[in-house]
Amino acid sequence: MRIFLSYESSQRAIAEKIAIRLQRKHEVFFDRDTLQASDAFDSEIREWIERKAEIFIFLISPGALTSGNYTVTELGFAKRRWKNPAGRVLPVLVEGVIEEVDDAYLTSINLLVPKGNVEAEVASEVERMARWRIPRWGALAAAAVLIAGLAMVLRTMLPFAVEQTLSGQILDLTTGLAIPGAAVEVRRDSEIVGSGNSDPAGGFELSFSLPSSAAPVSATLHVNHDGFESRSKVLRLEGEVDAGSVTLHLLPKSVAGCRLIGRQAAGAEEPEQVGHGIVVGHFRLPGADDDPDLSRRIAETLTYNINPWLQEQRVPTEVLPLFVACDLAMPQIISRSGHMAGALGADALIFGDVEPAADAYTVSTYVGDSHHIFNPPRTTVSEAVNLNRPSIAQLDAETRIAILTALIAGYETQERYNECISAAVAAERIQAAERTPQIDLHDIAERKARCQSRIGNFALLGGDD
Amino acid sequence: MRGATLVLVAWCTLLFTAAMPVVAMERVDVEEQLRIIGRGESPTPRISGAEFRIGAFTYEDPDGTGLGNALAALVGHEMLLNTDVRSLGVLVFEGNLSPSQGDRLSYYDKVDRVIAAQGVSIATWGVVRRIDEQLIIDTFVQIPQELLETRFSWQGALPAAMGGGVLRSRLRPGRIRTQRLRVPASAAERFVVAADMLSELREAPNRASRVTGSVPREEVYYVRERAGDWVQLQTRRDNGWVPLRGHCTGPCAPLLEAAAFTGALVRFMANPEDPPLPEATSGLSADVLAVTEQLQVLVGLRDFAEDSMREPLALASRWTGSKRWTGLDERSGIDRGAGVPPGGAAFANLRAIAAIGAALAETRGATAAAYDDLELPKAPIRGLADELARASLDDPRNSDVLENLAVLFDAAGDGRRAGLARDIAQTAAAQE
Repeated sequence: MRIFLSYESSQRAIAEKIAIRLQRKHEVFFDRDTLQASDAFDSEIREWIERKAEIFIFLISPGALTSGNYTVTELGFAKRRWKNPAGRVLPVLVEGVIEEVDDAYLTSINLLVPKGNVEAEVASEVERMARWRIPRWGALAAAAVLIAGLAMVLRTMLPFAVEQTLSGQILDLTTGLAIPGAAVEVRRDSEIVGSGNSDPAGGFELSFSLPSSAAPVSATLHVNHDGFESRSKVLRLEGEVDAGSVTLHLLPKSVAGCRLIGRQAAGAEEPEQVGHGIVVGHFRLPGADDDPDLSRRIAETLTYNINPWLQEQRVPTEVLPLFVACDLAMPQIISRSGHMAGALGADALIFGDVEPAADAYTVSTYVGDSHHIFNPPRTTVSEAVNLNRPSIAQLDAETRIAILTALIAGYETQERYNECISAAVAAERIQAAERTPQIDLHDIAERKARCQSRIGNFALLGGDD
Repeated sequence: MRGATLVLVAWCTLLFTAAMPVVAMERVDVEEQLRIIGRGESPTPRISGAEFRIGAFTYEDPDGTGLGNALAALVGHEMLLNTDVRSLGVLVFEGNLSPSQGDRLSYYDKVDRVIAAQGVSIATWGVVRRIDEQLIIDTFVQIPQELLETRFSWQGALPAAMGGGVLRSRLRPGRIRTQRLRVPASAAERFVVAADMLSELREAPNRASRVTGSVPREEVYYVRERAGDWVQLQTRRDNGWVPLRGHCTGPCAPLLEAAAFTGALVRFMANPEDPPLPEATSGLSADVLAVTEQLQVLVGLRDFAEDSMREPLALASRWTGSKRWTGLDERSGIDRGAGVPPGGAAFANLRAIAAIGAALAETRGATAAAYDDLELPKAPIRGLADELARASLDDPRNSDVLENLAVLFDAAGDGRRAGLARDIAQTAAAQE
């Protein structure tokens, strides 16, 4: 088998052990760190994932899903190739906890959580996956027919059904808190084979029977709750092996309408990021006099505050960010705002407090981003913002630059490197125009440099022909 | 409207023959223009007889300062009467250009669409805001892409011995942040009074003189004579005197610097043989300083490969390379800033061209060879190309830079990078 091993640089030691173990039987691409970044290197990785690899192993660690890391790009290639990752993608949790894995593609299949020797357990899982890959050549095909016949005979000698237990937890995607009372069902085709409800801690445990089969069978886990969007997950279950544990995050219905337009194509199995945007959530007024129109006014303010700077750098209209007002987006746990931004398909979610002053407002803003840059969210304060006139109001340079940072990360993740550079230059221009040298542009400079290294212009440097 | 246009054309024809400066102003509903364009139709051209037409968009005034029209009138008047070209029309676009929820189009887009549909040479627009006790007046200028290519550009060929490739440069940015003016809110009245005074025709060139009428806003008129700070206008019905600048003094005066800069750009366009260079005055922005110095370089490049190349080279080097000037510019009083200059890699591009021109001049002086026989050593050309390639990383879609890189790498004997630059340039040009 040809296997691509994707890992964050800090996990190189464990990746190397896994690779050495797998190389006894398989061809493994893993030595990314020893190569120089270049177009040829990029195309080699792309070639491997998009054409050569039969199995894609993704080592999950805290930084592996962080925007800007190579792992995110590699995972993106895998997503494009295999809409259904089952049997092709093997996510392995080498560091961190399952609950923090915030990627619908990876959590739609069972994660491997090694309990002992990581390389041995990965190798064992790979062998299991390899067994069910369809051989390409005739002799093995014939063998497969023979084995299938044998399996049918053996099946008559085995019990008709095996007992399975599936446990897990249902959590609110925006808060990370447990969702009690969610209806949980396991279905095979249209038949419900097991059902129950989540307990006060969001936990559930279902026992059900499946027909005995030597091959993995698929079933679907469905979760429903009145206050949340329903969610399903395909399970890959094997005869005698326990179904294991899953964690599902549900999006509250109250904010589901704030998803960015076009972010998820209708009927698509997986979200497709086709735009950039910022969700402007709830801004509180002191006392009980909340104004649901504040988020609209701030969204409008930002449209004027940010887009002209990007247009000055010739960012094409179709990839300019949308600023979407969503007054119902109010993260109860501030540190989860980045997750909420991701769930809504936005690069960032901003929310905060507004304090009326004489003719204007003081706006305190949290900027949480889906690329895990600001953790905890960046806090900024803009003085004298005239929200009565959104199109002339101006949020301070730090707020605008924080939002641009999230956009830059979004452009980078989507491989829109020219726009990534343009947005970074726009941030530098804002800093210069507003005379705010104290704003740290270090992160933006790093991202800009990375994006510059990915554009064709980079190959124009330092030739030696 | 058709009748008015015919009258305008007739007047323009008549007045051109009399060799008098013809100036005209007409109000245009910008929202209606955008609706027409949105339907895929072409709006009727306004003041189509004028050789140069400037679009002056009413300043956005969402804060209700009451200054939107006054500011546009002051800017329009300054451009109309002080631009000093023979045939000029000012279209005052009135209406709302604000961006709106769910709409990615910004002011720049909308201005681009309207001026392209009207074939306007240059446009100025702005926003006035009130924050606490201050008025903040932002003024912008936009030049259509087509004119950047034809009137604000330079191109020249390398000697045949170096491949004969064509180097080129266009002014960048074409979207210019001209000015951010901060004045006390108490000065608002001064702008209104100054604008009102400019609309009154007087019997004689002094403020004490009797008002005989008002300056027509929707018909053509011409300048009969000048007397100090006054001009005598001839309209269809009568004539009278108006001040050139009038009461726009004190906190109002810097606004006219922005208008004067726009007028200077028109003069630059109007005199292609010997273009007068715009000046950056202290009330203007770093963008303006960059534009004025870029134009100086573009004009200087007309003597490509002559001894005078040192000057454009030194000018371009103020904004790029290891000796980039930063901070306050002593001569203009404008802060040059630091880092990526306005226009991205445009200065690096000009610097590379000027350096090649200076080296060719030096070689020519030493050898007395014909221009097409001149040849520079490959190593320094490659060095210049490397430097320009580095600058292109901050401005990756600049097709001038990429096309020039292809020419320079070819001249340096680096075919691989020349081919690559050419490929990237094609993509960039297609996106422009």
